[in-house]
Amino acid sequence: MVQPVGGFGLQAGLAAGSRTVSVFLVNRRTPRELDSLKDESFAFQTELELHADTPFLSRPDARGLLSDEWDENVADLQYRDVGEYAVGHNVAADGDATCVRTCWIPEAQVERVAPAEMRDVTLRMDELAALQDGADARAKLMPLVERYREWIRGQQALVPDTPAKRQATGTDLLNRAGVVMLRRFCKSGGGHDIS
Amino acid sequence: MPLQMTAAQVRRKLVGALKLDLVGPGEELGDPVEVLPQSPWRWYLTGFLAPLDAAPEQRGNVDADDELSLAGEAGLDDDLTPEPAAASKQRFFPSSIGLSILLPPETKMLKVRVRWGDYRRDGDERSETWRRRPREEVVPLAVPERLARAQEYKSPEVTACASP
Repeated sequence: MVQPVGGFGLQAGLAAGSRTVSVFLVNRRTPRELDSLKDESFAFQTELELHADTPFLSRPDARGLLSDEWDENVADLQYRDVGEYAVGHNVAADGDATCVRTCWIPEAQVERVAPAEMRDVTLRMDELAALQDGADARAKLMPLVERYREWIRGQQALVPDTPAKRQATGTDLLNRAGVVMLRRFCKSGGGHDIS
Repeated sequence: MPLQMTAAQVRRKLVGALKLDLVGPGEELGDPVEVLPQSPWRWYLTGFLAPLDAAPEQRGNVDADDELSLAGEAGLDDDLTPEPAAASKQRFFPSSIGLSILLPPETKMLKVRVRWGDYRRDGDERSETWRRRPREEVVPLAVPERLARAQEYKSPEVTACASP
């Protein structure tokens, strides 16, 4: 099946003239009547693989952009670089911009979240338990606020300019981070003891 | 095989073993001309296409019932409530698989590669063996610019089609 993507596809950033194409593999063999031989007309370990003379387009997932759910909006921002190049029918699909294929047992890797390494910050509980006074706490913990401030600054440069909603989500997230950063800063900067 | 395997290698091997067990030989896995002591439909759990015109009893998992009651009789499960069998009876094996993709305006050609395995039965009633034959077909598809009806490409034995 070949179809133009239509007005919505254009809004989602697809070029005019883009098409969706569906390819099916159908077993139209004549079935063997004898039950003991029926497997001979089955096709086993079936696999469909597509290559094109140009790269495939990544399928835009507009759900997060159209939604008013905060979680969906954040996912739309955070996974904006993750492309989906094929959708499977009756089976899962896998692949990249140059080659897609069906797969009966789909695989996915869950990425490990590793904390950033922070210089000059005391994080060990036994050391924090032995803090001398407020000044000592500030010296050992303020770098955390500093690093956080640097991180936010770095992230600001990464917020995408378009679409507007994605930009708003990114800005909102960083504003919230800024509030947290200031709260920490005021608490320790304001002379409260950290206990 | 190195003496000491990394975690990733072990995981790769386990995933491969699972695929070989449930689907059967693939591009990198297993013996492409394997011989099975039992019908491949019983041997494998998924990955196969039944003929579109096959009778319902050939397309459904008629054994699902037996397996469930056997599992109940074994008494390993604490839950004594019998599983409802209706859902498993209704299970039909697919006759087709498909892929949908998005193509830019300038794409003219698609290359479709189809791989599968055929099994032929040897031996008599008492000692059945099933021998696999690896199959592959490459079908070039010209992509029309506008809305197109189904184009069908018949392979002598398996059909690949681009259809609405």
